Amino acid sequence: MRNIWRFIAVIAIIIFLNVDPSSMVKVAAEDISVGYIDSDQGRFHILDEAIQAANEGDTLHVFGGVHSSPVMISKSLSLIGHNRPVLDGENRGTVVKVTAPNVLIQGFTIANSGQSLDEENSGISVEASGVTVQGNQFENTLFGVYLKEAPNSQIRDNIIHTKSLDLPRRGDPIRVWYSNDVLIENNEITEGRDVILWYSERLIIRGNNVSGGRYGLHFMYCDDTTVENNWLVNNSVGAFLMYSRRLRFNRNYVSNNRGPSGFGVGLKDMDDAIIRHNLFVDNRIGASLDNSPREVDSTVLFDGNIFSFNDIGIKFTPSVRKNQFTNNSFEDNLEQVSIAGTTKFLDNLWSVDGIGNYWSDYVGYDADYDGKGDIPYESRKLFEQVLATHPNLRLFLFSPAVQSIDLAAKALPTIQPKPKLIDENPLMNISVPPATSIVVDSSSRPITILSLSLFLTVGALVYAPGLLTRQFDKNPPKKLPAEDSVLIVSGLTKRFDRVPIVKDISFSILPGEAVALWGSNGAGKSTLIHCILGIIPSEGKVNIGPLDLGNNPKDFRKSVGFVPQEINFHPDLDVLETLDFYSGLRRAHKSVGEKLLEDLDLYGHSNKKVGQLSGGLKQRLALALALLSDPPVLVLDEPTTNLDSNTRANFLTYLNELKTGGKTLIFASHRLEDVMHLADRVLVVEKGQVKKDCPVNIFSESIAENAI
Amino acid sequence: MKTATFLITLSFFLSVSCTSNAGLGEPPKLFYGEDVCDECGMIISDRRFASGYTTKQGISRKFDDIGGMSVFLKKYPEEVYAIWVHDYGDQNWIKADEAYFVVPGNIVTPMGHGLIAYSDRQEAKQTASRFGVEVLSLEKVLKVVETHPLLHKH
Repeated sequence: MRNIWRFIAVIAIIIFLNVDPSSMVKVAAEDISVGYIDSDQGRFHILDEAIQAANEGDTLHVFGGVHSSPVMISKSLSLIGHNRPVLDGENRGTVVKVTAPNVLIQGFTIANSGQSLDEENSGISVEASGVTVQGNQFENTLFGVYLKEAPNSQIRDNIIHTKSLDLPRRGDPIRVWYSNDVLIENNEITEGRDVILWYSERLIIRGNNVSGGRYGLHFMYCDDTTVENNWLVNNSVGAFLMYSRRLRFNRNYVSNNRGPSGFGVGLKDMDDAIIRHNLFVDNRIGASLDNSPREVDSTVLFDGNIFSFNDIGIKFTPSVRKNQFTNNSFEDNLEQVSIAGTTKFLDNLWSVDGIGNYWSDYVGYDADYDGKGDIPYESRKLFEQVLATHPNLRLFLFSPAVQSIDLAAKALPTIQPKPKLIDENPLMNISVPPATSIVVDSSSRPITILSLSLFLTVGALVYAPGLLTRQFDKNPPKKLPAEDSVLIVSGLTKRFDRVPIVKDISFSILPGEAVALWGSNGAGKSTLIHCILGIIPSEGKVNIGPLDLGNNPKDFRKSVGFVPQEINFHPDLDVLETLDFYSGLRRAHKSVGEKLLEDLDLYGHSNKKVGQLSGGLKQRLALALALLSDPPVLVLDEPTTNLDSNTRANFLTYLNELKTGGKTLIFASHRLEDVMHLADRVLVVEKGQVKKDCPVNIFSESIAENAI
Repeated sequence: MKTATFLITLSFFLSVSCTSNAGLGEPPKLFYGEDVCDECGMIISDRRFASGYTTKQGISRKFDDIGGMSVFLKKYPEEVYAIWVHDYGDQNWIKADEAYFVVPGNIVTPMGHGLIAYSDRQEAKQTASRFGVEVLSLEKVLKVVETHPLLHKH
C-alpha cells in the first residue's frame, strides 16, 4: 500500500514538472544524490568514464549527484543535467574545459573553481566553435564562462555569481576573446568583475541583467555588435564601449552606475556607433564621450535616449567632434552637459533634420504650438565653465558662492561665458522611447523592477536643480499666508531677457481648495505655473507645507502632480505600457497605476495604443500619470483645451471628485465654464501680475459687470 | 549667514588656486579601486600595470596600463619630470627610465597593451626569451606604442 502511494506521488511530480517521464522513472529508481549518467553507450556513475565512452554527437543525460572535475570535453557531445547535478572544481583549476566544437552544456551547477587570475580559472572554459552554455548556475567560480577563440557560441539563460573577492581579485563572469558571432542572452550576472568582450565581432548581447560589478559590459574591438534590452545596474560603469565600429546600443536600462568613473555608458574611440532609446538614470555621468568618433568620416548618433537624474547628463572630453543628438531628453540632471577642459567644443550637432532635444532647464516658449521651442536652448553657466577646468570644485555646486558667481554672470554680460552648446530646435516635451520594454518587459524580473524604483528614488535624492539657478527673494511675502496653507507663493518673478513676464506674485492656497488662474493667452499663466513647478528658474519662494522648492526641490516635486496642456505620449505604446513606464519614473507601485486606471475609467482601454485614444482619454491618462505619486497638490495647465464639451464636463467632474477627496488644485484656464465648475477662488492674471484675488462668486459677478 | 557665505566663497576661491599639485620626486599617490585612469577613464585596480608621472609643474597623472600612459603622452605631450611604473614581480614603484619592459603576449593588461615592467634586467630577459620577444627601454616603449593596444592581432 505504501509503495502504491509512493508510485502515485512520483507520477504526480512527473506531471507537475512536465518532464520526460522515462527520465523521472530512472530518477526514482536511482539515488539522485550519488548521480548517474545515461548515454547511448549505457549507464555510468562517473562522468569522466561516460565522456570517455561516448561517441561524437552523443547526448549524455546526467541525473543529479556531485561530479568532481576537471571535466574535459574533447568530443562534440551534449551534456544535459537533470535535477541540477553539480560539477565541483573543489577550488582547483578550471571546472569544465571544452576543446571540441558544437558541445552543449545545460542544466548544471558549476561550482568552486580555483582562484588564480594568472591561470584564469573558470567555471567553463571553451576553446572551440559553436558551443552552447545554457541554463546553468555558476557558484563560487573565479571566471564564469570563458570563450577563447570560440566563434558562433552561445551563452544563454545562465545565473552567474563569481567568487566573492575584492573587486580587483575577482574574475570576469563572462569573457569573450577572439570569438566572432557569439550570442549572450538572458543571463543574470551579479557581483562579478567585468563582462569582457574583446576582439570579437558581430556579437549579440541581449536581455542580460548585469549588476554589482566593475564594468557591466566592456567592449574592445567589437565591430558590428548589437547590445539591446540589457539591464546594467549598480555597477561602477554600466558599459564601456571602446575601439569598435558600428556598434548599436539600443533600449538598455542603465542606472545607478556610480563608481569612480561612474559612467552609464562610456565611449572611447568609437566609430559610427548608434545609441538609441536607452534610459540613463541616476548615474554619476549618463554618457561619457572620449575621442568618439575617432575616424574622420564617421559619426556617433544619440537618438531618443532619456538622461535623467544623473549628476552629469553627458560629458565630453576635449576635441570630441561629429556627434549627433536628436530626440533625446535631458531631464533633471544636475549638469546637463559637461565639457572637460578648455578646448573649443565644436562640430557636434544638437539638432538633426530639424529635431532637437528636450531640456528640462529650457527657458523659452512655443508660441506656434509645434512642439519645438521658438528660441534656441543655450547651455551657459559660468560655474559650469569653471568646473570644466577644476572638476574638484563640484563639491561647491550648491553653495552660495556658486549662486553668486552665476548671478554675477547674468548681471554682467561681459563676463557671461559663451554657450557650451546651442540646440536650435529644442523639444517642449520629454520623448518617451518607443521600446519601453526595458520597463514593460520587466514583469518577469521582479528584482529589477524593485531596483528601478529604488534607483530612481536614489536619483531623486541627489536631484536639486533649483539650487543651481534659483535666486532667493530677500523681501518677505506681502501678504501673510494662512497658517494652514498648503501652497505658498511669495514674490515670484520671472524675466526673459530682462523683461519681466511674471512680476512679484504672492498668494497662498488652503488644502482642498481649487484656485483658477484666469487670464487671456499671453497673460503669464503658463509661465507662472512653470515657475511654481520649478521647471524654469525664477526669483522668489514657493513652498508646499514645509517644503521649499529652492531648498528641497526633490521632495517638493514629489508633492506636486502636473497635467500639462499637451503631453507627448508615445503613440506606439498602449495605455498600460505608458503607465508602467511613468510608474517607474515616479517610483510608484504597479498597483497604484492599476487603481488609477479603474478610478479614471481607463481600465477598458488598457491595451489600446495611446495614439488611438481620443483627446479625453489622453487627458485622463495624463491625469493618471500626475496622480501616480499621490501628490497633495495638483497643477493643471489649460486642462480642457483640446476636449469637446461632453468630454470636458466629464473631466471636470473627475477633478471635482479629486478636490472633494482633499486634493489641492491650481489650474490655468481661459474658459469661464471650467472656472465656474471647479474653482473656489480665482486669481486674475494680467501682464504677469495678479490683478485680482477673489472667491469665485465675486469673480462671476465681476465678469457679469464686465469689470474683468 | 553673511559670514558663512563669505567663508564658503573664500574657500571656493582658495580651492581654485590649490588643486592638482604633487611632490615632484615621488610617484603618484594611487588609491586602487578609486582612482581613474587619465587616458581611458577606467578604474585603476591592478597594481602590476599601474603607472604614472609628474610634470614639471607638479601635476600628477595616473594610468591603469603602461601602454595607456604612452598613448596619453603621445596625444597630450607635456614636460615630464619623472615617470613611474610597477615592477611586475614585487609590485613596487620603479622609475620608468630605469625599468625594462616586455610584452609577453599572454598577459592581459587593463587596456590590452600587454606591457609589463621589471626593475631587474635579468628577470626581464628571462621573460622575454621565454616568449621570444625583446626587452624594451622606456624610450622604445614611448616610440612603439601606438594609439591602440599592442596585443590586438588584427
